[in-house]
Amino acid sequence: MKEEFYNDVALLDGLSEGDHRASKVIYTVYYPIISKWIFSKGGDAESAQDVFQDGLIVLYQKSKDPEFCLTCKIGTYLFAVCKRLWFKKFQQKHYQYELPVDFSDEAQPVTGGLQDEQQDVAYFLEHEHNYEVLQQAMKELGEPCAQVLKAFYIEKKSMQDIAALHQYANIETAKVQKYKCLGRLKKIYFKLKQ
Amino acid sequence: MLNKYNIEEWAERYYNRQLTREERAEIDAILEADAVLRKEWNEAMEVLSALAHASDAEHIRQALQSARQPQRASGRLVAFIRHNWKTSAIAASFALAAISTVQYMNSSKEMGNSKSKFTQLSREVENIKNSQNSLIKTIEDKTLTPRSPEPPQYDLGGTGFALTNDGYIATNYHVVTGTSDISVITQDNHTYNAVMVGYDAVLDLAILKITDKDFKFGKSPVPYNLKYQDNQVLGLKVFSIGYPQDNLVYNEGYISCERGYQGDSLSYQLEIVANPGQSGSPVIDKQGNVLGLINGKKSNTSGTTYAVRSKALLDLIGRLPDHIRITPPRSNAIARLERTEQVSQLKNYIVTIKTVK
Repeated sequence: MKEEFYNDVALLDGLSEGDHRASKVIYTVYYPIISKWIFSKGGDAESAQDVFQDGLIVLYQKSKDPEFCLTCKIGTYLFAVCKRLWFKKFQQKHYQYELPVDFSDEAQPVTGGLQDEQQDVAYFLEHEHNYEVLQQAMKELGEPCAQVLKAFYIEKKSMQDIAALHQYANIETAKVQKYKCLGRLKKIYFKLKQ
Repeated sequence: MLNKYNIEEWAERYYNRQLTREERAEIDAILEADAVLRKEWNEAMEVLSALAHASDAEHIRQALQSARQPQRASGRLVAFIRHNWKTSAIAASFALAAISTVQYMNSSKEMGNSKSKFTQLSREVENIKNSQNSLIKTIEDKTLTPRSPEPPQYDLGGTGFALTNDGYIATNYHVVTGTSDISVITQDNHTYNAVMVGYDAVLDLAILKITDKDFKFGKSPVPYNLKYQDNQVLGLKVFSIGYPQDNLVYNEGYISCERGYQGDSLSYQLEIVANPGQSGSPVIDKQGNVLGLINGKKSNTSGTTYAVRSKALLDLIGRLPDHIRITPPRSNAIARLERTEQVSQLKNYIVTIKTVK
């Protein structure tokens, strides 16, 4: 665990390690700026929180990617991501027609144009959609299964704890059960997706 | 091995990269042959990726929830926020203002670009002199007359810096490789002979010793220290002084990646102007700590430069035979000085290195 977060590298490291203090620093420093921008676009506190949270998820996922080497300030990246996310939300929620989005004041031709935040956001939104389907599937899956999967994949509990919690005879049984549940979840998930 | 009953288990291990290369190849082959299994497999992968995303989202949701709570964190963190939120906010707003010019790129992608190459920065002294002469001529009469070739006195040159006051010098291996005739020219224009006492060709580092027994760089010990710094240097402002020409030249820049050329972990990537002859120039932070020495640049860019870390240099010093006593400079006498004063104290300890091949 890092003791201090006096620069972007430490912050990014802390974030990738799941250190809550790192996200706290990022929130404290950047949320006021980003929310202000969202308010200026007509958003409310709730949507500002949502956009910031989604932006931070994008940054968190990038921070865990060993290939990721941020070449600008965290704030610059985060703001660009939030801006794009906001426009996507704005388009979806408030207007049904295509809103002409002006990105002219942004880094226009990013070299190669591929590894920029636009792609990261598109990737995120795709997963966001799957996430909603997944939540619905989890609901339909029913209790013991959903709990086992949630404990293992989302809360990252160990199989040992899970076996004890759900009173499986041993870890092996718990594992077999977990994979069976995963198989059922998969079926429901793709039935919903059709 | 993989079949439709254990597909979830294999998919999970595949997703978490827990398989050996052979197992992966085997699975790829099975999936290639079996379209039904492949569909199931892809579905399992998508569910796993959705679960991973859910986990990330949940983690951040909780982190933000605790961040929104009234300040309950450790004193240090509160102190950080209390002391730095203003500057951070200002810095952030500058960063936001600069958004129109900032470009993101993926380092590995950039590095993988086969067109970019690594150029070592030793200079061909005579070539530079000649081209400078020709430049002057062009300005004078607009005609480029063929130059009369003078017999070169020195072939190649680089920069070095003092490790100890009694004449141990660090430079790049490529500056002094392939020759036994090494001359060191100090700031006051004296030329001394030097020998190489240690090197590492892979790290591109060499340690020289001025052969004159009574030689001293100055009256006081070396004023900077070698800093063994592993991380938290990204974006750090640095400066460098070296001899791309016959006079000392100062440059400023920053560390742009913690890895060097093609991900080399014993190097840094810098954005700093560097010209031939600056190989071996120290890379110094604002407190006067030497973080590394410049050894090359990317050939298709103007400012992207690479530097070997001080860590590698300290390792090399540690590996030298016992009779060579180098105590790496530890004290730092220039930490609190203005930059101009720092440079004027440093310059006595920076030398030109010239070799005949």
